[in-house]
Amino acid sequence: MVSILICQSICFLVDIRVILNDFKYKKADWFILFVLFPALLLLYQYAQSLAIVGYQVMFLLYILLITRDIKVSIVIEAISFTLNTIADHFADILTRNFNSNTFYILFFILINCLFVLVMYFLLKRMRSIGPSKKLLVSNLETIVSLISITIITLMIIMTEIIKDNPFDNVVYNVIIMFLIAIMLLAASYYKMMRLKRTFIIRSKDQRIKNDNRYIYEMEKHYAELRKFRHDYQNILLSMDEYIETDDFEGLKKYYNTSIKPISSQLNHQKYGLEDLSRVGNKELKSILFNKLYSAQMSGIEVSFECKKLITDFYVDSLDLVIALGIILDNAIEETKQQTDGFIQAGIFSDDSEITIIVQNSIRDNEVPVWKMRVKGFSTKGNNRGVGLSNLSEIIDRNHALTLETMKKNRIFLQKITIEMGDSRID
Amino acid sequence: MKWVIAELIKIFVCEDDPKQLEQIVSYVKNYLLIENLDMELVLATEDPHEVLKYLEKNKVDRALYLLDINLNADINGIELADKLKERDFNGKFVFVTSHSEMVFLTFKYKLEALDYILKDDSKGLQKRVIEVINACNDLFNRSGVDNEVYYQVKTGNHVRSIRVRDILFFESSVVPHKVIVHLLDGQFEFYSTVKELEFENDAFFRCHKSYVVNVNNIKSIDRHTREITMVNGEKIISSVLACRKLVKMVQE
Repeated sequence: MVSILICQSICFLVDIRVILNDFKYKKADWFILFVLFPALLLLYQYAQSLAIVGYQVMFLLYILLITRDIKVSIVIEAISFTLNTIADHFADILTRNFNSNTFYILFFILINCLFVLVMYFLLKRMRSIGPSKKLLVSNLETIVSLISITIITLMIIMTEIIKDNPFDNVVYNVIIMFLIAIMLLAASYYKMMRLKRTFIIRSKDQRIKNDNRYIYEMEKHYAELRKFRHDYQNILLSMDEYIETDDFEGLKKYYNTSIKPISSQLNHQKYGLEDLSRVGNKELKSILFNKLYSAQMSGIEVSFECKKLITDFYVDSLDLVIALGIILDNAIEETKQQTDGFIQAGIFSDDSEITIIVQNSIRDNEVPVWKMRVKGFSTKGNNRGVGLSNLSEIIDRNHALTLETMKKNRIFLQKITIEMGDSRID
Repeated sequence: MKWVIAELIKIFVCEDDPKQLEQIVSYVKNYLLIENLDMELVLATEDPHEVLKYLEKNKVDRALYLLDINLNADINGIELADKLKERDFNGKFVFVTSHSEMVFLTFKYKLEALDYILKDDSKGLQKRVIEVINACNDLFNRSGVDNEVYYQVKTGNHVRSIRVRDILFFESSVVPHKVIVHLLDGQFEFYSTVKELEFENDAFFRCHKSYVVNVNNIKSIDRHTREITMVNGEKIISSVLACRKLVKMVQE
């Protein structure tokens, strides 16, 4: 019986780690070895019902040690426990005739592995469509999870352990548990879909707002051009006058006082963002305009270059938009602190790749690039540098993307390269 | 036996405004006359196709191209540079541009231009022309005696040369077939595996399943924790076996 207990615990552990999508060694693992196992064995000597309750409390503690979030822990506990119990019941039903522990363990592991695999791919899919990778859990879900745990535990104690595991009850219970599991799955799938929809709607709203602003800026720009044309014509007319009368001295004076200042003024009023019209992807154009324009408004010198029309960016636009957003936000945050900061962005393409470059001036600091990329690093205190490690995550989940980060001569450069060709498989 | 004399560095100027072309040409000619550099002005033209034609007919070894951006022809200076690069990989490009046509990132990262000259500043024009001629001359003459070791990385259609002494280590990415190279002043990813990289240079050593370290850039090794500290403070881990070998290697 001890081997069964240990086998179940290990499977439980695997379930938890798969749901957390984290397979690294943790200090909390010692808890399993030195607290959980001994305590379970002790409780089991005493009474099986106590062992089951203890089993759950212990694992809940273990998840809590890893996640440090009670709500998330309860939900993960509920999912793992339900899977674990269903696997146990199936294995029990299938091997009851053999009356052998080895057979039971074999089947139990097999069924559990099957569940884990299904779970793994399901979660992977959910993570890939979800806007945020963090597990967000509402109060309702926590309560539902708590209720399911209680029901299942009571069911097992009342109808199985006390009555010495009659076969019929085990079958009934597995059916009920199965139904509970399906119900929970359906509910969470529905929630996922709703989250995705609100996210899409929100980003669309943002895009429309940005598009409107873009159009407004274009119109303003156009009006200025019209005014300039008017001035230009006037200048030509007056120059005509000087030439007709052969007044070369006057022309010289007129040039120096009236024309030259306009020319230098034109240089300063460089708009810098005209090339955005060559970015053929709406989402990308929108984020670039939104960030660069707001940077320009806060006094940062901004330029954007794109000489060839690019319509297809080959990777998921949403990922690219998030990645660019992080890069641009960092650039803006840094340049805002400087008196004459600048941001230069550009997109280039050739036959094999598209390159997106953002570089900005930085203040003097001795922090090497690798330190900036560590999670949580920021020159402005804790918890603000999450961006760069999120960026790596996005790059890592798109095989066609590669990232370059350089810091040289007081310039910080980030370059995303999109490899064309083999991208759509992901 | 025949003595091989290094060919002169050829200078090309392409500018559609005859007045400005004349101006630049005179600056170049005057400077070459005074300084007696191993350079010659071979072509000054308003037509970009003439430059292309010259390269089709003649072999060009070392060249400096001074190009205007807006050429008033079917191709502009950037496209011209793109085409010239296909024929003359070593050529140095300098763009003569007005402030409003300025495309800094394109010059630097796409065309790898040597420099650019702003023509709005007519007074500084001569000074800038002289500066780029000197810079180009230095560059070509230095590359002759350059015994720096480079490691070449292929990314897409491009080959990128990095100095081996700038490389700290290679790290395999969590994504298969992607490798992150850590340099003194940054890092970038490319498609390869650490397994292949190990044999690319004598200084590269596979110290772990997922790391290849440049032995020359190690600052210290902790034999107990098996942690390797690089010259910039970055730390990587080594396997037990490799750590022993590495300590020996570094001691030698």
